[in-house]
Amino acid sequence: MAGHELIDDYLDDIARRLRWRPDVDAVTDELRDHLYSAVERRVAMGSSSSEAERETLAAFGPPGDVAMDFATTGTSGLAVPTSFTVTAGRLALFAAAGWILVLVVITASQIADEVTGRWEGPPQILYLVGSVLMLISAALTAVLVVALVQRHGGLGIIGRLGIGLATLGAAASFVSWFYPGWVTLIGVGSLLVAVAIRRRSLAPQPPAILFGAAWLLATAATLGLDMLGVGTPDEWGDNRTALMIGLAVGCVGYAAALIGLGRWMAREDAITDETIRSLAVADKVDQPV
Amino acid sequence: MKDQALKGHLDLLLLAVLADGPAHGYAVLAGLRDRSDGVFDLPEGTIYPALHRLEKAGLLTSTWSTESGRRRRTYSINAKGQRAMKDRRQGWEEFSDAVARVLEGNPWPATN
Repeated sequence: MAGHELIDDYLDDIARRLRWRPDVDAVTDELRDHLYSAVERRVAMGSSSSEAERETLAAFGPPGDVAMDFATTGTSGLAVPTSFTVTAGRLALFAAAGWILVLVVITASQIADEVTGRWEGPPQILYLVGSVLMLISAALTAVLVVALVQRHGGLGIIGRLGIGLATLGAAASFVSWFYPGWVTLIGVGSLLVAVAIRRRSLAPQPPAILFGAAWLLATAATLGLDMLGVGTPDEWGDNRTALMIGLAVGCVGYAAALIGLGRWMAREDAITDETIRSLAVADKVDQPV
Repeated sequence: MKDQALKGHLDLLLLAVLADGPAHGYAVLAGLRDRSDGVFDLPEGTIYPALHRLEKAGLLTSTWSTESGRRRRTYSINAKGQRAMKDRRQGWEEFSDAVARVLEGNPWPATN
């Protein structure tokens, strides 16, 4: 629309500062409607077009202030993509591959045990490899969770509680053989993180929901199959069939969730430190008036 | 000081303006200014992040239309927003009554 050069420059500036938002076009459309309406009202009251634009922009506030307000809306910090969140998104794809490998290697160890009839040797080695892979995958997943916290400008008390429970579950896995117990802790923790992510409405919802549901579904599958009498307990009382199906549900669900969340973060345009400073410092000299 | 105090109660004020009927951001701001006789005159850009926050919290809904060739977003308060406004209004009334009672003990200008 012709005749609103200052307003259009201002909107371009806002759009540049908020380019990491998926709804940046909607935001600028909404602000455009406001600014054009305000200019039209001032012109109707007798101001010249240029006076009306300058007065309107002065009343609206510096672009740094407005962008900062949008960047911190509904968060306790700056919710923007950074080079760290983009890198963590890429690492999440490796984490997803890692969880699939965990499933493959642990399954292979169980099959080898069944075939050879002895745990020592290849089955034990495969199980150890699977355990190391699980540690690596869990570590990469933890990096993603840290990045999700940063990307959302914090995840609030629900997110912190979720991270705490998941960490407790991960720690318990080192000292407890009671698989349903620590997997449930990790599952409930992941669910709370997913709830906190969902409340922020930034990340894509399907992988976030899957992230929260994967290990709870895994536990439910294991316990449900055991109760239904699918498979038979071994000499240690473990129902391997139920455990392996539960592990498959958890690993595949987590992998799919990590791919969805990782692709979202990896594809974002990281904003530079300079842009973060321009958001954090509301520079009135930056206002095009 | 006034701006800081106003920001602290902005959500309640926006909900109260929208309780009169759906409105776009510019009309919400005009309503806020008119109903306060010009006392509440925030930087105009401040209200949009606040409206978005209220919508994310599920207290408002918004729809898009086209007016004069421009896309316009109109906000409406929903049932959850009405309940939130009632709660916050009650909280504000209790707070302001308490402040009034304290100040009644020290008529202005205060004397020692």
